[in-house]
Amino acid sequence: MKYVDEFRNPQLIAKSVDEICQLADPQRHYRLMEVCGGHTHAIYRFGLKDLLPSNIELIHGPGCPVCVLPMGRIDDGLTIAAQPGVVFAAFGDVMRVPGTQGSPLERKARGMDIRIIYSPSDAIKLAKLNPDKHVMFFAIGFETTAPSTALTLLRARAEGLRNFSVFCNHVTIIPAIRAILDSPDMRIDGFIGPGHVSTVIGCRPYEWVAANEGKPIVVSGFEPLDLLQSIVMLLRQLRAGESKVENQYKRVVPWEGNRAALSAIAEVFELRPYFEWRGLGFISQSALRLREEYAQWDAERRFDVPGIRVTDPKAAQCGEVLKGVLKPAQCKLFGRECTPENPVGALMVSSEGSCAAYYNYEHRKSALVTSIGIPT
Amino acid sequence: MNYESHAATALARIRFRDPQIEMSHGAGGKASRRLIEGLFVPLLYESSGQPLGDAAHLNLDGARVAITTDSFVVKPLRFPGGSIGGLAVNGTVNDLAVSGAKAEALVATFVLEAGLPTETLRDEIQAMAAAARKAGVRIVGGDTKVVEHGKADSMYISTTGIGTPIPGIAVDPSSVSPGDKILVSGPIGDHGITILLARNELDLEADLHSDTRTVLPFVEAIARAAGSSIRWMRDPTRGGVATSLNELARDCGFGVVLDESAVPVRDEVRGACELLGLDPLHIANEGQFLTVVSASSASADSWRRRIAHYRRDSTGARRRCIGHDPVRRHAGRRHARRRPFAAHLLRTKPWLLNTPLRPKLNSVCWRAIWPSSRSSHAKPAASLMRAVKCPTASYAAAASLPSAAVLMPPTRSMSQLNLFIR
Repeated sequence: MKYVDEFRNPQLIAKSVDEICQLADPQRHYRLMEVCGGHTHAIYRFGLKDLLPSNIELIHGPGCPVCVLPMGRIDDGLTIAAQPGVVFAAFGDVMRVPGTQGSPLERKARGMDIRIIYSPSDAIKLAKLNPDKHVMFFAIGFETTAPSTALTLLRARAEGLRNFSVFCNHVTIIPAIRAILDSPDMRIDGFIGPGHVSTVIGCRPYEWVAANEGKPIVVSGFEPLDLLQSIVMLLRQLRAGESKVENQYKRVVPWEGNRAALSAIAEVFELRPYFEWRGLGFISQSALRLREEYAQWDAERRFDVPGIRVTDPKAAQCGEVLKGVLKPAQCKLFGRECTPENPVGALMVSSEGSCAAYYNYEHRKSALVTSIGIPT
Repeated sequence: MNYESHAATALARIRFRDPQIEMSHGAGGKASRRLIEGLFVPLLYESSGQPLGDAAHLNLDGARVAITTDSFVVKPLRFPGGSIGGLAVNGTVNDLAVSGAKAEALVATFVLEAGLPTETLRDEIQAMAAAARKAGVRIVGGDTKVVEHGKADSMYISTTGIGTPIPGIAVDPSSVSPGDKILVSGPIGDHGITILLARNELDLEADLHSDTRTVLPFVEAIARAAGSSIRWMRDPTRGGVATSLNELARDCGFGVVLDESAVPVRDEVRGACELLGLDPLHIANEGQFLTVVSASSASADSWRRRIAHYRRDSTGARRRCIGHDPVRRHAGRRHARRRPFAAHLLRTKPWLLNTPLRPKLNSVCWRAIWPSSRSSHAKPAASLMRAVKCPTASYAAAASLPSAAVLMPPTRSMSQLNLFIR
């Protein structure tokens, strides 16, 4: 399959691994953070970790929108959905995220009107099909999905749709990276930059990381070869003592970003003064909300939202894992109380969550390798 | 799955603690298993120490019969390559076939929603009749219930079949031993992806057809040609190949290693799975089956000799060895597979199937990759063809696999990556 097989070519992968081994200084320990959850998933799925020398440690970053969303927001959304005549529409990965009264999927099983949609524009279709109901789209995601929510709102406004609103949980990546760099327990040598987010925002917004913080950052694709090449590029920079922004994912990511998408975001959204992130706490100007002109479609303005802060279950260490301080398996609940089937924390739910990736691809792997003798 | 008379004593300890029934309990994965073994088996059946199979084999005063039942809830009712009626017959016939029995008679139950057009019902009954003729099975009775409009999704069909054992086959997971080979009858995932796309919820199109068909002629052909080397069979329907192999691993006590590059998957299916973040190994099939055969019988030569039999059958033209059992017994592990470039073991994830999908790339990315949209017809298709020119004989690669019994596919050239963004 074109665009996939080339980037999974075993010979090229072996070559990149050789290059990484040559570039990595054996005396040095490298801590590289892959910001995006999609990268975390790819790293585990393709077993890239096993290919890298042991002194290159990959730290999983906060780039998983479902994971960073505090439980209170899910509760708020479901409180609105519990009102008569309200349809809760959301992407599939929100459906299993635990709230205090159960996940949206569990609430659906108990009769709440909850629909899975694949694109925000489906929510508009839903609203038109059900004129007697109010469709609330539970919007979630980084800058990757914000443009499609923005375009949906532009359309809702143009068509004067009344029975539609958005519960906006869109967050932005840059403040999260800043929060990680400010955190005293994180010592990161370089970043593997998020690919999908960068299709929208481009590479320019990362320049301060390289210039002010002295950390190299390489925007990377999601195939194994993309990731390995990005690591090569990071190691080259580290070896030369440089810190700059590089774009490995040039086939998709324009340096300047997607102007049309950015202007749609700017038209519809404004920055919130602050927003709570799981694990990272309150970060100022880190999330989007609807502008005053779109108040009519803003679920937070239309409905009473309790807005109660809900703390995660005490034993769950989602925050630490999300920040990269703990590895998924170091959490006390990992693989015992918390599994993809019965998730306690959001990181076990999302396909981009590091716990889910680790559980699926890494958990008990070493036991299997020894028992059936497959070489790694 | 039929659970009659097959409750392993060890399994009866599982308790079903879930407070309510959720969609995952019907998805064929761990949650389904928990429901069956934790609730149905202990309350309905005494344990016989046998693992759960596709059909129950009974001894009625010396006469051996196999019985199984299956219900069909599919949306949309008609999809490329088939419809609910054909599915209802083939599904039950196949469950009997892979348990080593030839279906003799079926009874069918219809649950109809008031307001269902007669034309639709007639089409489905005709589809059932056609499928029954093809499978050589009689439909000898049935029952009909009509529920209020809105209380069912147009129609549900449930079929129960009885069959007689096919001579020369014994399907028994406990006879599986290390070194045995796993064969798959053809490309996997066609049915599941076809249904997914036919629902028109994804704005994706592909030139795909459901693989729904009866596998009975094929099973009978193998029984004649090499019945004694067959250890186990299963049709990987709901939950896909991975779930079936998980069940095998659990029932036989060995791990299963798959060579990922040997698993036949059409490019369209792979493409859709890549976009949607799914794994073809977890996608449902309706006309394929998995067989475990003894190690010696699975050598390339011996199967190549037997291919003559299959070629004459209309079914099962591509039969591939996709893996082998590992050398040593181990506990706790279910299923693993090997990545082509890094030996990579995967804990399977039946829950993923229950995770509703979200397109992996947003539309902005799509536009970046494929500049033109489908709405302006022919032209984008042509540009796609140029952009995604791919090898036509993607199956040929497996011929070089050591010890894999590779039966080459018929020469139908694979279409290009016929996946369009609408």
